[in-house]
Amino acid sequence: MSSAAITLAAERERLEALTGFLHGFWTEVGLPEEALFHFDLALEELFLNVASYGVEEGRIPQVTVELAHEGNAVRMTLQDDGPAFNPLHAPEADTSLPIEQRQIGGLGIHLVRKTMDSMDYQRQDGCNRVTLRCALTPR
Amino acid sequence: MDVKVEHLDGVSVASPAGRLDYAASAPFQAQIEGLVTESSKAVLVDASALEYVSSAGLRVFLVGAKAAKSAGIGFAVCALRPAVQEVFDLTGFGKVVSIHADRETALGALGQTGT
Repeated sequence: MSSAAITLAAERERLEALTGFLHGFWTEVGLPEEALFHFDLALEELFLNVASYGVEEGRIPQVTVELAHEGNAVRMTLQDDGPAFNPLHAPEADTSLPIEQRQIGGLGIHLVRKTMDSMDYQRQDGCNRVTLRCALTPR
Repeated sequence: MDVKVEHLDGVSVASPAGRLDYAASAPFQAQIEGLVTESSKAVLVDASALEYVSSAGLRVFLVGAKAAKSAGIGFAVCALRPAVQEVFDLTGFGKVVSIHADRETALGALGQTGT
């Protein structure tokens, strides 16, 4: 099993560093390129969510991302010490609406739910912890 | 993200290459809005070199399609790579923008609907 972790401030400008960390792990472990897209997407959507909604009274949360290669799957965990937010309770985006009524809010989490095999949430020791799992080869 | 822009008989074609993530979305949106203002028939996004799109990137297509609609011109996307196509499919964005298999089909369709 290979694993790696990074901790940084939940600021939008740090997304590039976080993406670099994910891509670096992928190359180092030698994981299949075609499985990277969904993790890339999940990481951006969840991190930006914390960066957008996690700031309380000017305090920027710290985010720790852990990646682990386990058998034929990758587990990605995002932990932040911001206010409690369970993405599994976020309202479902209505993807059937016509253009005039479409909003972008909610689409990110919707994409993560649809592309990952599993998504779990825990609130523990004042931290939000979202665990994602996805197989590396198509099911 | 690099964006190549071509002007073809009233249709502006923007070809973004690389990653349309949060960081790339604001400059790309400004570019698309500019093209909507200056094009007489339509704006087409040729996505053949687009490797990645997130929900922040999708917003550009929504804003572009809405702006084109109120300007009375066409708006379409063509040549999506499979991973990008999946993001459009999962979010129902096929209802927001017209998606064409390739540039020729898109230009044909936009030429017919243009004024």
